[in-house]
Amino acid sequence: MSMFKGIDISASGLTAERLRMDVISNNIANVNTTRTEDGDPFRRKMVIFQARNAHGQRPYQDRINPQEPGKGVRVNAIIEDMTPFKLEYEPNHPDADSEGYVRRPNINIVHEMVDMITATRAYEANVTCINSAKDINSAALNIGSRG
Amino acid sequence: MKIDYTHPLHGVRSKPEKPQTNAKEQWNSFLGQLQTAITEVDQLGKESNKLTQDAVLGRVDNLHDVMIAAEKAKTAMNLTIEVRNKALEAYKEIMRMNF
Repeated sequence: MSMFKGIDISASGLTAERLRMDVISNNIANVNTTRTEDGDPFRRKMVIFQARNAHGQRPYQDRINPQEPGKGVRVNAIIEDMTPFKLEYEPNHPDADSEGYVRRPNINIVHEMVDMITATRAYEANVTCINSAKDINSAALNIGSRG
Repeated sequence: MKIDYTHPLHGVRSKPEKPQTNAKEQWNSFLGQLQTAITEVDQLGKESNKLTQDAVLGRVDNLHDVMIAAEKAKTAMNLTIEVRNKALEAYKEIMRMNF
């Protein structure tokens, strides 16, 4: 029903932000992980958001007919941050190389915390949108009622 | 296609209206539309029920989906009640008429 279109759009935002939050949590949990299955330290992961077009997958379809709201957002991909690992001198560590350096994940904990705050606020903004959409529906139902 | 958002009935009128000749036809058309709407509301309610059950059993990924489904069902139910009240009101108005 088109009555719930706004809610559906905001719901896609909620789902996307929640996934982003999961990815950030995973980054924070692995801030000291020096081993993964492929032998490297943990690499920071990021999410890529993509707009969901109202008319189909291709961007030009929306350019031709831009007179409709879109269908919200979706997570296009989760990619790895390819910035180099941090090196720390720690010769007693079992993962240290022959010169005594340990490769640490390329995660900045402060950066992750800021991202988490952004994701939380974005989630809350979408919830506010849903509540507004709900409120205008209830307001419409009050048309004509006395008192 | 140019969409005119200012038209008050945009999206409500699904097919071009044919001129209705008598009251019975109009009544039947109204009943049919009401039936469709109620089925849709029922569908939303069932969906909400299913999601709530899934949530209780711990099988749901996104908590907000459950809440949104419940909210949709609630809004649709309120709309149904409002339509029913309007129809009843009209009926009572007619019954109060003095011939």
